[in-house]
Formats: sequence, C-alpha cells, structure tokens
Amino acid sequence: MSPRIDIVVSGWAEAGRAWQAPAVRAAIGTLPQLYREVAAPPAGGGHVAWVMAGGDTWPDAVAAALQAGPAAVVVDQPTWATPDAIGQVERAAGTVPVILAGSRTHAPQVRDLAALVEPVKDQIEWVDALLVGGEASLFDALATLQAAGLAVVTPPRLTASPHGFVVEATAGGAARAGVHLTVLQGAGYTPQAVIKAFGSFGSLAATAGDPLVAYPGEVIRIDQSGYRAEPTDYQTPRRVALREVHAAVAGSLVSPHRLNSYVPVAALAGSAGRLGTEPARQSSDGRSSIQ
Amino acid sequence: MVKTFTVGLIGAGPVTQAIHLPTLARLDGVRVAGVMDPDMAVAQAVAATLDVPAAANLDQLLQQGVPDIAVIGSPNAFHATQILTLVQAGVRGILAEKPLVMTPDEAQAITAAIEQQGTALVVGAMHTYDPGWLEAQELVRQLEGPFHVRSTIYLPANARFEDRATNMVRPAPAGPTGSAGGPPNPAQLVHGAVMGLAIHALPLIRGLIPAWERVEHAAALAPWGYNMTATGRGGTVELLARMPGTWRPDWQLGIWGAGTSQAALNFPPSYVHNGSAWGQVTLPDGATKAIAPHLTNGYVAEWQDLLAQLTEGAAPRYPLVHVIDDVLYAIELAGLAAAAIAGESEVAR
Ligand SMILES: NC(=O)c1ccc[n+]([C@@H]2O[C@H](COP(=O)([O-])OP(=O)(O)OC[C@H]3O[C@@H](n4cnc5c(N)ncnc54)[C@H](O)[C@@H]3O)[C@@H](O)[C@H]2O)c1
Repeated sequence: MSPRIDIVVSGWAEAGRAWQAPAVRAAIGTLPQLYREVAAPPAGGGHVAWVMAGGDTWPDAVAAALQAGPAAVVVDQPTWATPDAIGQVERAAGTVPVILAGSRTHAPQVRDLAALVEPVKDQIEWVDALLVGGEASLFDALATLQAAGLAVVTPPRLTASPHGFVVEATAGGAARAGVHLTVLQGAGYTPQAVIKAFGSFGSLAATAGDPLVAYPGEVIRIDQSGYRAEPTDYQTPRRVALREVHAAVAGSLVSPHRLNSYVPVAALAGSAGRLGTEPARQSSDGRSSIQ
Repeated sequence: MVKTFTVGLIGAGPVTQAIHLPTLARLDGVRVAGVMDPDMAVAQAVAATLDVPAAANLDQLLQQGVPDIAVIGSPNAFHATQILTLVQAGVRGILAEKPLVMTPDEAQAITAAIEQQGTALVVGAMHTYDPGWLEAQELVRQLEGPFHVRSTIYLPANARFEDRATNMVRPAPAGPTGSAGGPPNPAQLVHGAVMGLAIHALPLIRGLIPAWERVEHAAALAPWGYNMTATGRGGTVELLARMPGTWRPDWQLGIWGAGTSQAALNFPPSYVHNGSAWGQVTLPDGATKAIAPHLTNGYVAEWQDLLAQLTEGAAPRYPLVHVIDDVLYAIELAGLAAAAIAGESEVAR
C-alpha cells in the first residue's frame, strides 16, 4: 500500500471559492488511505499543496506554498494563466511537480474521450464543444479540450454572448479540425459538458454533468455499425486528480497534466485578450463582438 | 357525409414520398388525385402506386382537374411561382414545403395573391407544428432574457431516413449536374443551407430573438452545413449543422436566459414519423418541466391544421403574416451570413 500523504488546501478566501470547500474536503475524504488533510504543512514538508487558484494572484499563492517544501503542488482551477506566470511558477518549483487540475481536465469522461480520440486524431474534421458551469474561462475551456486530446493550435476568435462566449479555432492533428466552443456560465444553469468530434470514421461524443458531482455521463463512439458506450466512473475530476497526484508523488506516474504542458493553451488564451478569462464583462456599449 | 378533399402533389421527390404520402395515409378526408414531376419516370412510378394520373408540368396537372389541396414539394426556387399559379387556378388550400419563398419580392407577391383569393396556407415547417415544441413553447415564453440560443443539427444522410420511411422511387442517376457557374461558393452554400435547414429552427428562435443585428461569424462546413454566430435584439444565436457524417441523429435547441431560465429540446429529424420533440424547460422560479414525447409529429399536425381550416373554417395556427415574417427573418439571416463570408457583416438599415 502506498503511503498516506498529508495534504494542505489553501487559497479558499483568495480564490473566492469557500463554497467549494465541502466538495474538496469530501473528495479528499473519499481517499482516506491516500491522504490526510492537515491545516498546516508538516515541518519536514513532503506533503501535497492543493492551491485553490480562482483569484488573480494564484502564482503568488503557489510560490508561498512552495516555501514549505511540498512533494507536489496542485493548481486547482485557475481562471487565467500566461506562459510567463507558468514559467515563474515552474522556476520556483524546480523539481517539484506542479499539476494543473482544471475544472474538467481530470473528468473521467474527458479522459475516456481522449482514449477514443487518440486512434482517430488525424481524421477529426470538426469539434463542437459546449461547456456550461464550472469555470467559464477561456484558459480552463482550452485546457479541457487539450485534456480530451483536442488541443487548439490557432489563436481563438471570440464572440461574447450575454451569458458567456463562443470560440472559433482550429485543433491540431494531421488534418486540422475546425473547433467551435461555447462557454456559458450562470449560477442558475445546470452544469454540463458536451464535446463532440466528427470525422470520416463517424463521431465521438462525451457528455458530463456538474464537475462537483460524481455522475458517470456518457462517452460514445458512433459509426456505421452502431454506437458503443465507454464505461465512465462515478468520480469527480478532483477525485481523479487526487489519485493521480498521489501516484505521481509515490513515483509511479508522470502526470500528463503538468502545468507546463499547458503553456501553449495559456499563450492562445492570452492572445484572445482578457475577455476569455472574464466572460461576464461586456463592452460598455453592450456590443458583444470581440475579434 | 364528410367531404373528401382531392390532393395534387407538385414534385414527387423524397419529401412527397417519404413525408406527405405516409402522413396522408393516416388521415381521413383526403385522396391524392394527381402527381406532377418533370421527371416523368418518377411521377409515373409514384402515381402508379396511387392509381392516379401523372403529369409532367403544373398546367397538365391542373388540366387533369384542379385539386382542392396542392402540396408543393418541388425545389425551393419554384415555390413562389407555383403558389401563384395554384392560387390563380383556385385551389382551396396549399401545403407548401419550407422555405415558403426565397426573396422578399416573392413574399410580397404571394401575400397579395393569397389575401385576394383567401387560399388556406400551411408551411411545411414541421417543428413549428410539433406537439412537443408547442408544449415547450408555452414554457419558453415564460423564460427571461437576454438569451443565448444554440441550434445544433448533426445528421446522417437524408437517404437513411427516406428509406426507412417508405419504399423510395429515385430518379435514374443523371450525368454531371450543377449550375452552369460551377460549384457554389461558401457564401452561396451557407445561404442555401440557412434557407434549407436552419429554417426549421429559425421560427422557434424568432420568438426569443425577434430581429437580427449582425452575423459575427459564418462559415460553410464540409461535407455540408454551416457554423454561424449572430447577435440580435434579445441575445446571441449559434447555428451549427453538419451532414452527413454521423449515424446518430442529433437535432437540438438549447436556450439559456437570465437566472435559471433554460431549455434543452431534442427534435426528430426530417422524414421520421415517430413522435414529437422532447426535452425540458427550467423556468425563472427554478421549476423544471419535462416535455415528454407526444405520439404524433409535426407532419400530421400540419395537415390537421390545413384540414381544420378547410372543413371548419378554423383560424390557421400561423396566419399568413406570421409565416411571411418567419421567412423574411430567415432570408435576412441567410443574406447577412452570405455577406459575412464575403466580409461585410453589418445590417444595412
Ligand atoms: N419538411 C421537411 O422535413 C423537408 C425535408 C427535406 C426537404 N424539404 C423541402 O421539400 C422540397 C423538396 O425537397 P426534396 O428533397 O424532395 O427536393 P428534390 O430536389 O429532391 O426535388 C423534389 C422533386 O421535385 C422535382 N422537380 C424539379 N423541378 C420541379 C418543378 N419545377 N416542379 C415540380 N417538381 C419539380 C424533382 O424532379 C424531384 O423529383 C424543398 O423545398 C425542400 O426544402 C422539406
């Protein structure tokens, strides 16, 4: 049995995410053999620092967390990131792994979709994604697509809408795929993620509900012979991330979600301006087009 | 004794064979009296199964006897002139497939003629008659804006549905066709796709976004389809369609408004005679109402509406001015989308 690791969660207040505290605590509490939540870092370090990164100053919060000598740092749902900020964090971290836990990067449905995307990634022609709830930021949404194996590779073109924004972009692969992404946020909305990918093989579709709730969703490949559903877990993205970080600290896994692997996404999100990180803000004349 | 209305079928292609004939087979009080199609082989094959005469053009069909009801299932470009001819010939009712017309001038011309003759008109926009949508619409009217509307249509090739709806008679394979000017450019493709496919969703959207301001983005999607984002009075609309390329039909309308206002509706594809739209609507007070599938579909409801107008003098569900406004709304969007692709996206007012 791998050792139980202390975990320190910080940044509630700065991130404005106090309301998510029970969900994070519950996720940690479902893995009692892997983690022990402690209020302060142990004297000798070696713990996991879980930084709630909702605010503007998350790189400072990560730098502060690194002072205590953690074995790994998790950046939980940053609403923005730039290559510079990531570089600054990585330099401060040295050999300590810094892992991104976006609102859906670790969702089991996204992971299963990535497994279906991999063998057909060069055949995908069109991607249609709808993300409602979670973090309505461009960086978070692009991170979700990257985690699904559908990383955007061209500067996104944004159109603001009263409740979010719409993105046109292109995803990588031998055949470039058009990407249409809709990100909506409203406290009253039912959170959901629907990602569809189409190509000569047929289509793939993943649906997931509220990332705070462990509901299995549906991940399917549809082709001429019918459709097959992939089993997905009753796991929240945070619970998956917790397992993965534990394995990384125990040395049995190199996380595919190292923060620095998201530098290209941070660069693209930055190229679209701050709007991607602040979807609720409209221009003063109420017009909603952003080039 | 209940009167039986005679029906003339104008255009004997997939829509006539796979949509209207199976629907007519369910209904009392209607009898097909003639089938017209310039492809006489198709006209004759369809007419033979019904034991009625075939005609190669509209004059010939009308000479065989003016039907009580005409169904216009011809290509879009012919709808307006055929409506004018049929109205002048004195048919009592017309079921014209969508799009009703293609230009504002055509809209004006048919309005004058229909108003003068008092002809009953139903547009074959089945989702506007879909009993599931009509139930949802009552709730959608209570939602609070501004709105974000998302219409997505991902479908297999039409033939897959046609062949499941009937024993299709198809024209003999022809040589290379197409317009003399070569294949359509992306602006023409999107214009055609808005008038041909998005037009099903647009009357539903018009209730939320009553007027367009501009098209923010428009592009043609291969193999066939469109990707558009438009803003209008009341919010933002995304319209996405791509076909063929999937084997599971996926036709949805998503609506998000202020607070908890939201709706997620699913629609049956064209040619499918298997119940109505379904989904759910969440009202401003947070209550979520399920829209269960109804057993009938919009195709049946279109015919019932037309027959009620003819037999009982019932008011149409959608008066002429309403369907004209619907088609003008679509024509404007199609024009804006085509212009956006050509680089000018502002509404010229
Ligand atoms: N409501 C729906 O679900 C739905 C679905 C598909 C198409 N439609 C509409 O139905 C109409 C017909 O669609 P389709 O796919 O059958 O079209 P189509 O292009 O296959 O043509 C239908 C038939 O019309 C014939 N035709 C050509 N010129 C004609 C003319 N001048 N007069 C009469 N017939 C003529 C063709 O020979 C063909 O047999 C279109 O307006 C289309 O927009 C409606």
